[in-house]
Amino acid sequence: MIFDYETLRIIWWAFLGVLIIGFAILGGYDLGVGVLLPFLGKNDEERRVIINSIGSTWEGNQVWFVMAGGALFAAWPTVYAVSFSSFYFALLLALFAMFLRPLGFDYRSKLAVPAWRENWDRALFVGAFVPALVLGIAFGNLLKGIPFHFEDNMRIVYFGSFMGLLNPFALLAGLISLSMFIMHGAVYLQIKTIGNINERAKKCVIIFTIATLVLFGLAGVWIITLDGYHISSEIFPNAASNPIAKFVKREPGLWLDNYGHLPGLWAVPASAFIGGGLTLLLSRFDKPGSAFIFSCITIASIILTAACSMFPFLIPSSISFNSSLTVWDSSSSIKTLNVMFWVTVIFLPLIMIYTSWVFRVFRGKVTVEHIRKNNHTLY
Amino acid sequence: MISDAVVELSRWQFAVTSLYHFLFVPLTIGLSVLLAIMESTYVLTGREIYKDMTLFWGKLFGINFALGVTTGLTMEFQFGMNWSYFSHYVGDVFGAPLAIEGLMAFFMESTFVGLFFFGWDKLTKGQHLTITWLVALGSNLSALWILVANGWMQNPVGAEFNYETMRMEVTSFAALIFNPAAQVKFVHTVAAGYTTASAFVLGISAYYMLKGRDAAFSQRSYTIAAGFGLASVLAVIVLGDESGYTDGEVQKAKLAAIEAEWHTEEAPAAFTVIGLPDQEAMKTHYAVKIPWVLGLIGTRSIDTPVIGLTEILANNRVHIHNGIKAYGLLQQLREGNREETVITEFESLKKDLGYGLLLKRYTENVVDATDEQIELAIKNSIPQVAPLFWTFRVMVVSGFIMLIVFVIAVVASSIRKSRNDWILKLSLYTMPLPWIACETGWFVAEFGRQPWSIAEVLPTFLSASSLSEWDIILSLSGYVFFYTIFLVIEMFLMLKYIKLGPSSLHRRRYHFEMDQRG
Amino acid sequence: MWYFAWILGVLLACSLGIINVLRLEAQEALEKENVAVDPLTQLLARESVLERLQEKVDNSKRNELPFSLLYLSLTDFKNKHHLAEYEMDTTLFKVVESLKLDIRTGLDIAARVGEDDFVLALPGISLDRAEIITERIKRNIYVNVTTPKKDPVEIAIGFVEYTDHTDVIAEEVDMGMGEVEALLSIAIGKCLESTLA
Repeated sequence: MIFDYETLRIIWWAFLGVLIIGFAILGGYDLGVGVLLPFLGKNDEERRVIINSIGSTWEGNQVWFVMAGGALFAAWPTVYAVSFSSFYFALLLALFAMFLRPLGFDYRSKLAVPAWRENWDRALFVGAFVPALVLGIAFGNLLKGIPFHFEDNMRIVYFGSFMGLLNPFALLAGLISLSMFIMHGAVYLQIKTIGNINERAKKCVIIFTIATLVLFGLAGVWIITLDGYHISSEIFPNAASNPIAKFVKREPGLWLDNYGHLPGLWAVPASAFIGGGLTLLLSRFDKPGSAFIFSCITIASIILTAACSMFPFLIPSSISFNSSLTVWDSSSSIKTLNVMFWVTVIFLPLIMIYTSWVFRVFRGKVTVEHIRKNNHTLY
Repeated sequence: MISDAVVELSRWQFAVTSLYHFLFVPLTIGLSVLLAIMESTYVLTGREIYKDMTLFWGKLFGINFALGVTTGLTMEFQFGMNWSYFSHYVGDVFGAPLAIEGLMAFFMESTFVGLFFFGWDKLTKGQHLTITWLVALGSNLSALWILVANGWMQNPVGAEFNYETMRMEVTSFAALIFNPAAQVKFVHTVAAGYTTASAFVLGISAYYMLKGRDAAFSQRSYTIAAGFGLASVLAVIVLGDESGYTDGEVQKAKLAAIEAEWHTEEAPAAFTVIGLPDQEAMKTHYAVKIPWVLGLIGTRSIDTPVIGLTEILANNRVHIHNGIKAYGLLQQLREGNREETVITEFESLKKDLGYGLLLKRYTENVVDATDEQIELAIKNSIPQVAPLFWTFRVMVVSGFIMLIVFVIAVVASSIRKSRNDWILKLSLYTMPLPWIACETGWFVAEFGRQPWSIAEVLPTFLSASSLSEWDIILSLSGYVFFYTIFLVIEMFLMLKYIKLGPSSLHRRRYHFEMDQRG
Repeated sequence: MWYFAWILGVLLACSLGIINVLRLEAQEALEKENVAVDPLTQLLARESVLERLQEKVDNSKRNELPFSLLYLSLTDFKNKHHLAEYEMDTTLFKVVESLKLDIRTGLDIAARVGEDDFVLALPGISLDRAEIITERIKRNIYVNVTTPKKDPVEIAIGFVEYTDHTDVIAEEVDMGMGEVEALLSIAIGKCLESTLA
């Protein structure tokens, strides 16, 4: 073992972040495009343009989501168990919506019947809108803490309800994620399309970038008064993962504690605002490629802001504070973290290389002419 | 204590969603390889007809792949949603192969599948062919890692229980990956996938030939499918045999249940072809047996006995008593008692801890279990025999029928004279068989694992999440509802494209393309 | 060890699939060489065409699709213009070139069945479509092909649809003629009619 347990745990906290942010950046624009589909595509051909702008790469992007789940299971199995069983209905909703996507993309244009295509367009919209919203709501609830505790054999018991998840703060978080994905999707469409769709996309970039920043700012102000969590007993970062062996206190404003200790962290939310502003400007001046880079930075910063606030908490428990799951007590064993580290270090760069190659192959605009020429082979 | 109803419903849900998922997976695994073969032939010979084949069968592949992905998402979610105790208890071991599946296989498969469909004009012949092979490799590697995970459920090697974290933790990744159960399952399952895809292409090509349509196209498809299919079905059967042998070594209760081997017979044991197994009476009525066959195939020797269920139950009695002791020691450890003697004794007994956990179904207080409860636990420590007995035989019979069909197909595709209609009809009508074999096979594998979710380590009923019955009724209904609609839509599209045949490519040289001009 | 066996196994199985189909290709190529082909025009020769036509007729019956036959003749034209043999060869060659543009490769069958006579089999084409195609072929040949003496070429074509004449064909079959021959004789009759007209 080259790394000690503490380092591995921090590395895996970072890896999890990379995967979540990776999904938000890559899968996020797919979701955004899906939500914009019925509004930016006014007829069948325009909609096909929009669908095919992401058609060849969306499946690879979705794997980031699957991978985040898989990494959670492998490196933070207790977190996986608690979050997935507690968010049962929310996840079910998101899952059912996500069912519609592979089918929507592949089956939609296989029949030339208008009713068939219109219904699949609706399905694609739902398949993008619901997950975008639900993922944000889930994150918002993490910041609030969820009502679970452990029995003494470590059985997880959850006392919340689906409606409980729809509290105001979480709904705000849901709106933030929805809005930032739409912003991101609009910038992407600005890159990949021309003419009418391009114009409409540009307008959306403006609206949703502003919306995202406003909502994010609102959440930031709210957090000042929100109950935050803090480990009050001594932390043993190299000890075996035992979530019930610590003491946790909860007080308003504790989520800003880390920012207090490390003032440099304020750069993270700041870069969200700077990134958003630059996205707006660059999009307005028809430089969508660069705008895209900054919308990626905006999204990453928003997620990191929340993650840095919460560190080292992963899932706070709102009814049994001491049962909260943190980086120091809910990870896999050191052996597993170590092996998975090396596997990831080999494969993740490889994945990024071939993914960027695929994006390069598919570079260029998607136009109505292209759709007409390849009527039977494209989505 | 978790209610029986919740556990039952969770099990039903997992069974339904995984059997559904496996309707689409074998075709993905096998057809991706067949596509690679067809495209390789295209690149080797330069003849356009092989490109047409790749494109057409690729269209069908796409229709199927979409549902494979859809139903696969459910599986990823389900471990956490419905089996949270399982996820906590074995996640350290089980999560890793799943994550590696994502990193190694899913990314490759999903990223390149887009290029497969849409990259023809943007890549050279060689580049596109490589992409197709990588998609095939991705789907096969996906099977590898998920079966490493499932293999560990059947034979949990390379891991140990840690009382501080209350879970199983990895001691050897090598043991996990090279688990004989995993190896055998992997090759058997992918071979089944290859067979399924071959039967699919074979049957549909036969249909075209029966209709006298697109002769050149369908003959070539038939020939490729016949050759590849024969090799695959042989592999499936050989690996099936190997599975039985491995079970005899590491999952004796499963083998005994499949064969309704109630008592340890004198070696070499006889094989029960057919009969009515009776679990209460512990015997098989109207049994038709072939002497020696089970012993020879199952143990590959003439003097090693196949352990019978009665003997296994007797062994389990000992295990359960050890397990109760282990549980008691664990309780002490969790209460803070860290004396040397307690720790050493626990370590020596902990491999039977799972057996102690079996009692939790009947009482919270394992250490004070009554004799009645212990007897009940022993009785239910083996799976139900009758369902296993029958599904196993259905699977094997299907396999052998397919073997015969593929042999005939290969011979027929070599003799080119007039196409015999009966061979073509045979090829067409045996199309459902691989699906029957795959589903019954999975039933045998997973039902035979009961009452364990991790063999001898974690009982199934403990593994479920603490949800309410209505939670699961709702989710199960949702799955059934959506999956049924999707299946109907998928079959509708699939049949439509099958009927159209390669004319759907609009390459202007196939059956339904009546007039080019005018 | 089974992982290793899998890698070998897949390579073996794929090779088996590829070899099997390459063997088929070789077989077909061989068969093609044995098929009689007219040396001048590279169309099917009379000996091979009857069997192929019967296959197409059977397919049409099975799929309940129409099937048309065209009989094309330059005999009359040759006689009218007193063309020498080598001149005729060049003309025939050019006629066939024009013909190839109007047929669907792989689907339709074109054969040279006499010195100046051709047969075109068109699966899936009904009577009225056959008429349109006949006119088109005649027009294209008239416009595009000239004899060495610069005369435009007029070709006589008779067309017949299988389902349209099943009764006549049945009669001839009763008298001992094959289905295809019966169809051909009707087509030849129509062709002669058109020249006399």
